Amino acid sequence: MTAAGESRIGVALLRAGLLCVLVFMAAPIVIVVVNSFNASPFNIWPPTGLTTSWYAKALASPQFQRGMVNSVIAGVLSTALVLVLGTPAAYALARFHFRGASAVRAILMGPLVVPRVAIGFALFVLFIASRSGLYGSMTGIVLGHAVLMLPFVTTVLAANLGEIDPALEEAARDLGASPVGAFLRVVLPQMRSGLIIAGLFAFITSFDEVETTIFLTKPAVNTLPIEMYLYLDQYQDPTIAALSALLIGVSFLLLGVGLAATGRGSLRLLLGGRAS
Amino acid sequence: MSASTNTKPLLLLAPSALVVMAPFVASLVILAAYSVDYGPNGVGPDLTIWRNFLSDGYSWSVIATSLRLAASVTLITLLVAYPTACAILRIRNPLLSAIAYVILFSPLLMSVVVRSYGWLLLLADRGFVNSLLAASPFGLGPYRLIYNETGVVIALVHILLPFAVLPIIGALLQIPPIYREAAADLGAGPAAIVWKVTFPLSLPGVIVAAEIVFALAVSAFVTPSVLGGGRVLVLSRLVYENIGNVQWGLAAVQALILLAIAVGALLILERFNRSTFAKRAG
Repeated sequence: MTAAGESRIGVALLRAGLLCVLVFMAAPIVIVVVNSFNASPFNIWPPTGLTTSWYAKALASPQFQRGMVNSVIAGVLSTALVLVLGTPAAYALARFHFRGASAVRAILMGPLVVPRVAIGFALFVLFIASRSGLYGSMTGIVLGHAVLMLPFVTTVLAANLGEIDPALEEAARDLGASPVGAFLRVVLPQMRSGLIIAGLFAFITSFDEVETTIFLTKPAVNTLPIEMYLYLDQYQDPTIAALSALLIGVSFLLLGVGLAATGRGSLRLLLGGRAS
Repeated sequence: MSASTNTKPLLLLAPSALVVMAPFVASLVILAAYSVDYGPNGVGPDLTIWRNFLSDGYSWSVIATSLRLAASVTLITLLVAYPTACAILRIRNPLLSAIAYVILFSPLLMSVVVRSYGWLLLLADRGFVNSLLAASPFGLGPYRLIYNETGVVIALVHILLPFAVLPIIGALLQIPPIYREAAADLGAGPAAIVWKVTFPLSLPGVIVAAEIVFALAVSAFVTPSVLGGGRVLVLSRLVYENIGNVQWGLAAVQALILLAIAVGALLILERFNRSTFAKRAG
């Protein structure tokens, strides 16, 4: 295979470079986990001693507890909303050629182009100006997260639908199924991996979101990353490392579940989602 | 017939249009209105806020910082991402390949706050990197790596690298291996194959990567705040501070300038993309 013209030095350099990049990618995550046991409140390296007291402090903090609950609520609600809205939108884009399709696509993809801080501030102004009471409410945060996620979710779902043979659906229709019935019983089960990936990404985005959320929130509905950001603004002791280490554990658990549920299709769908 | 083919997709799109897209578009319209002092207590439309902001040297220094940060982050990220994508595709062992993918992409699952905090720990005056440098035979440092642009750039490259590698991998996978083999058969050396065959054909993926990375870097908020420690002032930071100062008109102007920079960069890169395609076709 090396016949396709590759020097041995080039390959060795490429491998060494990749190793450096992987160390670079893992470093801040490893340091957070190690530092969560650092007895020094000033994060001095090497650790002055080992302790688990930062975990106790993080878990006992009322702000972090409330933030965790708010984050789960916001994540679940916005993911559900965006999947329910995104599935029919993706179906329209994947299965129909209609006038104005490119305009619809442009508006749909708009939130990807607009900086998140601008989206956050714009929604803040909208919520205030419309006197809707959405500012500082969970509904407002869920709506904000849905705006951010809809482009990604529809892209992944449309790519997923593109891989599903329309002939199966037509066969179901010919056999007497209603359009909705054919969709629910023939198409939807085949969208499993797309829905799982889109849903996981929507949840993770919502769970990590700071740049838009910080404009829409009041202390009572602060999500966990907002509480962490505000905490970091004042203190830098390893409490935040302990909490981060717990979140890293949850992330890997989610990653494992996602990979197990979708198998090899996940990367292909992500690549397709980005490329289109 | 044409009526029914048009109403069905519109009905399917209506829920997301009403719930998500309409508020999004409305919010941008109101943002523009606030920037010309057309808010509830405003007297507008007039361009005073725009004029004041654009005639202030301080504003331009913040815009320059935002642009400089985003440009250097984009350049460094692409220079790292391209060989990384080539290298990761070459791994033959499935287990090693899976490990590399997980290490490279799993940081995406973690909060930007967590990742920025990790870099704060690594780069602090008495942190890991400085202790490593001091322990080295040269006894280097300590260097000031946080609360300045250096730390912000390093952390942003880390955060944005996966976004750059993904489209480049996608582009590289689309090049049929037979092209490289043909070039080799015609006598091209390894360097010539990379430079004259692989790289030009993967350019669309590189441009998509540049678009994503620049857009995310220029509007980053958490990382410049955490690693800049209030000393690296970028546009997104000003927007946030001015909402606390109840300077909503000014914040609207800054948000719109941020938007204009993001859209402008996208248009320039898209144009570049099309011109390279045209060159190849012609």
